[in-house]
Amino acid sequence: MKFLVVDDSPTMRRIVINALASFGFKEVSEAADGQEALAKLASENFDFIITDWNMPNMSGLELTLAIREDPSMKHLPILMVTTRGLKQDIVEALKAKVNNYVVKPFTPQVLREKMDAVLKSIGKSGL
Amino acid sequence: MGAPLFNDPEMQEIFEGYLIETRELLDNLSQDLMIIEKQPDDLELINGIFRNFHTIKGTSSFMGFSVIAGITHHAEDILNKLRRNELKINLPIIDCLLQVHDIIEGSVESLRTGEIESGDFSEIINKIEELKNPGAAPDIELLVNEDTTGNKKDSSKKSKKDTQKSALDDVLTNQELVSGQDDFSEEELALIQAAFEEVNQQFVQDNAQVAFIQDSGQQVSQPEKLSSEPVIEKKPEIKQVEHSKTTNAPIAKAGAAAAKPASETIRIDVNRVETLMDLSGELVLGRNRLAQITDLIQLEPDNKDRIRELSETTAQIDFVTSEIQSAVMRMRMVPIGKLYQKAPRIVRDLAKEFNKKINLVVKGEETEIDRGIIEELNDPLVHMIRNSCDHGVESPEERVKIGKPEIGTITLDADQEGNNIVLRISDDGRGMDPEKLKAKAVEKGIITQEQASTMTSREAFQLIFLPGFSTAVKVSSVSGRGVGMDVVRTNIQNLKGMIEIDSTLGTGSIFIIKLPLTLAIIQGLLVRVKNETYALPLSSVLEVVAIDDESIYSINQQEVIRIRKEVLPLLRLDLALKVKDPKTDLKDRNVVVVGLGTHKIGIVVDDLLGQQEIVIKSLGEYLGSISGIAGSTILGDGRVIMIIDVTQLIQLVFSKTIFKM
Repeated sequence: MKFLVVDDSPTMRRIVINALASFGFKEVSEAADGQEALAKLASENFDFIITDWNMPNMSGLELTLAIREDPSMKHLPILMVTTRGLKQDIVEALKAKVNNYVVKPFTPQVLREKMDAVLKSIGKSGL
Repeated sequence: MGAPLFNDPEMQEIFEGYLIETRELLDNLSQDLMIIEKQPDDLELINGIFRNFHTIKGTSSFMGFSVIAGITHHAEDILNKLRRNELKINLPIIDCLLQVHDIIEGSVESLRTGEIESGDFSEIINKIEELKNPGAAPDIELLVNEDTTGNKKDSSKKSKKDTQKSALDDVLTNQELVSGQDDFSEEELALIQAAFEEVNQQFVQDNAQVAFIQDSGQQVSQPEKLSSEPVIEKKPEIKQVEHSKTTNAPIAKAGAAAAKPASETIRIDVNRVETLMDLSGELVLGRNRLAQITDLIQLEPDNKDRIRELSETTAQIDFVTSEIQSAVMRMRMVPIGKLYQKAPRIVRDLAKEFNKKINLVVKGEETEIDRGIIEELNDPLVHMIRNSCDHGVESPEERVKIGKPEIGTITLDADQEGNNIVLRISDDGRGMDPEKLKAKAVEKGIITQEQASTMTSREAFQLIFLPGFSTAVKVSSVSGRGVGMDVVRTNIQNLKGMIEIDSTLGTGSIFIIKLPLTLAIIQGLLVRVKNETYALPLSSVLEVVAIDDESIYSINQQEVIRIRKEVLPLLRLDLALKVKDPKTDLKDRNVVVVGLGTHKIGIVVDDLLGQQEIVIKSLGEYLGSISGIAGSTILGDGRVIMIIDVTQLIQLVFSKTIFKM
């Protein structure tokens, strides 16, 4: 499984990548915002996207909308990372067809559970 | 909670990254918060500020730094209201956000030194809460209602299609959920998860169709994908280079006293690293050629062609070496804007403190300077800005009365002049009165009445650099412990730089700081004293004159030399360095005139040998610091020579003569 981790904070990217590595996923690319993520998506194939919400240039929500509108990528599972578990935000994410969300700060276990939940509900049990 | 006890090297590495990142975010914040004061309607800027706090909160909470995360959370709350236009930005809010910035900065700094974050910030939190809710806000209700009607329309369409009760519809029609500001309750959480489940079901169905299309061999999507893609400009990458000093040292093992600061890392533009790579490639080529030529020359030592090739290769290696030298130097260079970044905040706070109106103009921020120098310049700069705000710029009333614009101006300017960086700090304030300065110095017993009467204005300005001249040093929140101008000068001299003042009564003052581009490599003037060679930093050499007996005489047992119309004290280097059997006569010897600000002396040497680029090496621990010697260097022929500390020599002469310190 190949992951794309999108976050403007290098520290956050490291944290997520470390967690993924601890689950045994070593194939990970990173992007600092939505635009960079789209560029990566255009040239490489990914199986799972974990994206932050609030980023400069292009937010995680905008990224999600762009992916969902693109027939070649709309099947990609997206897990949204947000700092605020606010109702309004989550509903917003839901409308954009994010597959699930996880609220910062999370433990690797929580991330794992959310990833499992996404993969299970979309019928892939790759983990 | 959250002591930075990262024994895990991986966690330690993340922590170091966190420190760099947070400091950068804080720098951005302080800049943006200054700008927002002038552009309160800039929504982009508010979003940027929000994002910075947001990221700090996110990473801090991961690292377990709950104090930072907590206080940042409150800042984020208020910014959220600003973002949604539920609140208007005003001065108290900016003040509050700046305070939060300072608290985070302080906490991060103590984390860096290995302390556990702590402190009671309930006061600021209460203040934020107050500002956040300035009374009932009916506008919010209005906004919310509009939003939900839109959603209702959307969902009613769906429910016609599908009469089955849908969790997704439940969520979207639930006003409390759609516009709620709080976290979810248990039931709501279950509902929202069910809604996600539904989205994912739909997602699977949609993708089954996609898979079907793709399976049938048609790559329908490819061209579309290209066209729908935004053009992306690639930002220059920044590579992080480790200074691997204390990389694996866990930060806070013992108490704060034993704690080591986190290892230093710097960010370097990838292009600069690549230039260096190319150059080292060329160096390798040169070396290989050299090795080959050496072999050939051993075989036929008299072959002219070989010798010409050798000198060509030497020239090439010479060229590459200086290119590498400057490339490496550039790696350590940072724009001086980094130093000036804090100035707007300082001026703002001081103007408030002193009830003045001051505009700050910053020029030449892109001028690059060695990072080591930048760090050492911070305190002197803060002090000088403080001086300009306090003593320079007049109160608005006073300015209007004398026909000046109400708002005073302080200008920070930077420029590269040859191998030096020149910084200017100027104000359009009241300027300095040389007579008053003299009177004060006499009163304090620093100079005598006679000395005062013969002193020029320029010399009088220099008085403020003398220890003990500065009056009661106020402790302020900005400069922290007050340092006098003497400390400023000492700091700058330690950086091999100099500081000058010019001032016109009534129109303002200017402080000019001249610094070398780097501390490691200097141009040196090689001189001979008896059998020894010494190097004088060329940056402080003003001129060299041959001794003419008639121009030398003595005042108060101090040897002086008259050059044109100026009289300069003389220092015999052989005597100062206690060389054995010094020459007594001055015949056929040279005087090197060196200067530091407006202080000049003539240094007597036996002979001048030439000019050379020299690399400064410290004397090492066993020799420690030796008065009059700044360091050592190795010459091309392998000889080790000493580099003269001109600053110390000038101080030595002046302490004995004019000011009797």
